[in-house]
Amino acid sequence: MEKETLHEIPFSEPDRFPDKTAFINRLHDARIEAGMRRSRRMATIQAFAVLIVAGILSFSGLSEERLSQQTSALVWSAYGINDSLVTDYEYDLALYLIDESEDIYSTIEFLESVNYQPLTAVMEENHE
Amino acid sequence: MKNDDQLIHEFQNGHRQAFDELVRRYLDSVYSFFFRLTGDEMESEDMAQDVFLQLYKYLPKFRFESSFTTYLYRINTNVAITVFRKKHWRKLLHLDQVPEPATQTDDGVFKKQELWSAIRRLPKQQQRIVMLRTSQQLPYKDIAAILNISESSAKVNYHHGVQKLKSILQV
Repeated sequence: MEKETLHEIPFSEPDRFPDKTAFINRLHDARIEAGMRRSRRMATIQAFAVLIVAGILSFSGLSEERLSQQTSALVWSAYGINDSLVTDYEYDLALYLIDESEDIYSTIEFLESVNYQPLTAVMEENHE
Repeated sequence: MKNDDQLIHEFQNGHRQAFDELVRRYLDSVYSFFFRLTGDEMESEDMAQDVFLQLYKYLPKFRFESSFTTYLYRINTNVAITVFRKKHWRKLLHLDQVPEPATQTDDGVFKKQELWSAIRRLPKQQQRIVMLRTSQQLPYKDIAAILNISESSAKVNYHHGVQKLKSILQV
């Protein structure tokens, strides 16, 4: 009975079969193409993995840099060094360099070219 | 003339020509299997290509525990189930909006499509058994060997499958 029911559906045989040589050629082409697709996928995944690792490393590097800056600030404050002391030191250094140089103008020119801020204060002071 | 096992051994030793010989030997049978299921030449050829691609990949690991034809039938049914599942999802997602070709209006083809959409709704093992039994007319003994189950389990599954098909198709 089961067979009869299913036999109502015609299971037709193919009129023609694929050309075997052409099929084999297409098969190997498809196989090679699939292999290349797989390698491309793998290369993409590897590149993505490298990017992620590089990203993580640079992020942690940046965090460490921030940490080291914070550490330096802590060390400086521990030794009682603050921003005003540093500014004073730079100002004195500019004065020293100008006073001690054989050619004052060339020293000033040099400090101007490197845009050395304490020089402006020194010049203003001298004008006054 | 070399037998299947000799050709497989040669292929496992790196001779691609041996694989090509296996394709020549079994292409018609694999193609017919899918043609009986789909009635579509292009689709049957694509499915046959899938089978031989899988064969190329897995044959190097073939351990000669079953006959090559048994192994081939197993791949055939797996490919058929995968394709039907994909089609089912495509239908659900409305990706198949291409108009049906004129030949599809043929009553036999319509019945076949109806049958296969009903078979898709069966559990996987029943799908395999109904496929092998109806399109290949394989005896239960062979089906049991292909699917690695007992003969009585094949019979019971087929019976349940057909009962379910009947209720789906309301025949």
